[in-house]
Amino acid sequence: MSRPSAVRQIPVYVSKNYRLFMNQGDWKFIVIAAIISFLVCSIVGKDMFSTYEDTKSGFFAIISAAIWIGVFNSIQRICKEHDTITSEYRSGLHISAYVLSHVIFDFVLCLIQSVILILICMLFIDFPSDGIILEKSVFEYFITLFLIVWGADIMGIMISSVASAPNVAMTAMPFVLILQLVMSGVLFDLSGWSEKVAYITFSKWGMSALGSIGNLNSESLPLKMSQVFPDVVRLETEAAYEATASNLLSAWVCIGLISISCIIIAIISLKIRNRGS
Amino acid sequence: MNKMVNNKTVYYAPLPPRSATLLILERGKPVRIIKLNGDMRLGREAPETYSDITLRSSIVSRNHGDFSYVEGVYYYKDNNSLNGTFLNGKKMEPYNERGTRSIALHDGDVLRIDRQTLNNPHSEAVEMIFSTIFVPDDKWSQYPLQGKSEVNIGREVSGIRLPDFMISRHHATLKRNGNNWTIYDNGSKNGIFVNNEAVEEKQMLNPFDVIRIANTTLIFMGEEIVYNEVHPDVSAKKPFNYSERSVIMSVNIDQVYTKGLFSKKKTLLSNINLDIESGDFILVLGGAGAGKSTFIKAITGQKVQEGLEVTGSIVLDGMDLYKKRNLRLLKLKIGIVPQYPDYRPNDTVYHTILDSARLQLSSDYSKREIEQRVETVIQNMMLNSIRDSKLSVISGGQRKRVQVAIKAVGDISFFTFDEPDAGLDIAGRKDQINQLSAPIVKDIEPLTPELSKDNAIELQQATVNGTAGLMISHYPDDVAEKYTKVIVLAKSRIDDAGHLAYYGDVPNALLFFGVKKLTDIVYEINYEGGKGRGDEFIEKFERTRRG
Repeated sequence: MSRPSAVRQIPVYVSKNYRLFMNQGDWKFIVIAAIISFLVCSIVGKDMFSTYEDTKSGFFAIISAAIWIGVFNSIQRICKEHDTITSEYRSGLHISAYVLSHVIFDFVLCLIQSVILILICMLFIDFPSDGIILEKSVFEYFITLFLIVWGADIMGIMISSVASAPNVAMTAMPFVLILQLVMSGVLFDLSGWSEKVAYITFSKWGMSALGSIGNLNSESLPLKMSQVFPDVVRLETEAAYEATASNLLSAWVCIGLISISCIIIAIISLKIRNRGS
Repeated sequence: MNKMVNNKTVYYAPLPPRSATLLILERGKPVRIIKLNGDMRLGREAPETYSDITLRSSIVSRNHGDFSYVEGVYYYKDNNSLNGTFLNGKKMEPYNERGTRSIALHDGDVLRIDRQTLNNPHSEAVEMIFSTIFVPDDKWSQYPLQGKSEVNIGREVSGIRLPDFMISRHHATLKRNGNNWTIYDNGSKNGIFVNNEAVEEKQMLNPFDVIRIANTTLIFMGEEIVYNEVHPDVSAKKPFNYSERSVIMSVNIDQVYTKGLFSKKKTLLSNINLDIESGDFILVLGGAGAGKSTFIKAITGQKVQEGLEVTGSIVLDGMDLYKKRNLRLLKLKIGIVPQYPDYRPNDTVYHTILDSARLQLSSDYSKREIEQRVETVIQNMMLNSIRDSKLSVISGGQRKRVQVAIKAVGDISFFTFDEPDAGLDIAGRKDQINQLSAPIVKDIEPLTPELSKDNAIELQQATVNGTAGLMISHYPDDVAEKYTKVIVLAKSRIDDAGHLAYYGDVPNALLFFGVKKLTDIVYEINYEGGKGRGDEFIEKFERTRRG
């Protein structure tokens, strides 16, 4: 087969993404990730793993930071190239190759950002050493944070593909972030439709994963109230934070599935936009 | 043939008849290609008999048939010859004592001289294939199929080797199944056309089927393949001469309209008939709402994207643009240079062109071959000095040239430019058009009305490669001498749609509209802020066309 297939076009666009990343100074996204990580970890770090509430809030803040870092990487990237994509589509571009090239390139970018995030977390947070699946919990934290950053980045690619222009994408961004934060289940108890919507958010599954690794259900993480009233104890544990391998793996798989859905939506929306061109 | 062809709009000074060719296949003799040049007689080579096209076969009569040329269409009639003529397998029947009726010829039509019936072919039977695509100078080769079960076609195969950069290494395969042959597309980038229709995956072949692969035409003869040899080195090709131009696109639009689910049909363009020829650099002029952009979108295959419906036909390189699967392949031959930037400003000139080449050229090209192609385009478009610059830091004119270059690395038949001179001062505009027309027109001598009217001197402009360009511009007089022709579209008050008000060369355009400058034409035809003479000129041009 000699038609330039999607697979053959991916390396062309990955290298193009790298050139553009360097030429337009997108290394600033790495610096921004470091600044956000530092701010969040320096604030929540000291109270992590002291009480149930502080640990949960800390996880929530770290997840919010991870989602922000990921979405911010890519939300303007595709919508500003719509005219170019249309022109290249006429010349034989495979939309799937184009989207996947961004996903692959951002894998590396998100990996770097996640390493920075976890290293800064480790500066301020004393993570319990034992993991659920892996020997060291810090590797599980890293995998979770990486999946969230990369997933959020892919969500940014999806929004950018659907949006007609950068200003439209930036207008949509706060709504998407608020939805993610609200649906994490930390700020509000979710029930009914909101509980169902939460299933398609990175924040819910991210909290579930971090809560599992950090064992939020553990009695070693007392309620704040029980520090004043020692007799007050938690009667019920939360299933979402069950510290089991299956719970953690389910959360990771769900983050992966949402990411794949975002990739599919991005490809379909770009194909619809360029149909007949 | 579309009846509209007879209404073909040619207002510019008449040129020699549209070029067409006849590929002659006589048993046991080399393939010959004859250029049809107006009225010509076909007959057997014999003393004291004159024929324009002579055949050696003994079954051909001395005065066998006549080709005639009327208003852009070639016709053939058999002169009641002894063995007669078959047209596409059907015997032409006598009409009167002088011969059969004259039948209009279409691309790919096969004329055959044989016995009275085709059941038992004569050993000296003759086949002739009519085409407007074949180039008379091409060398034709024969590839026998006897005793073979499979034949590969491609740039680097042992079977039929076609060293054209737009052909994949292993482009297609011919496979025999019993007495039948089938052609398979091996996933090639530029596809295969059989009888002017794109092949999806495979197609069974019938004798005299015309196969198009990039710039090569192959004719399946049953027991052999006859094909033209395309020279691998573009620079070694004979320079294109404007006087030998051929039709690249034949536009016969009945209507272009929009129709929503809940909205009434709105006609945007009506009755546009014209030919775009190789080497043409055509200005598209028109008043507000006359449909200039719609016209460009329709002929560049953007009807679906723009929600347009097109009735009639738009034929590119002999193939209907909107027919079945053709658009997917034919759109690769059209280079749209939009007004807006369709490049990444932070990428370098070189990498922008290189990546475009990787997209457009078949993936079985080596890295070196692709880089060579890119180098050629960079040199042709005078981009060498800025090859490593980011597009964001080069001038507007240079960016436009890059936009052309990223299309030109492929196999483009014609370019469209949408107001590339907008927002520039007069010096910038002149420079811009001069640079953009570079890949199409070179060293054009300015046409004077006298020259054009008398048609005394053949147009001898040499063009670089025989592509064509259409340009929308609001400053046409800056470089009027660059345009070989002008299309004027005017909005009619009768049906509120854009019509053709003129198509021809620039000097005659000025005479036709009675103006001194091209911009004055728009003033003459515009209803809003102009003299509102659109309908008058539409009608005048229609009358001119009818003769």
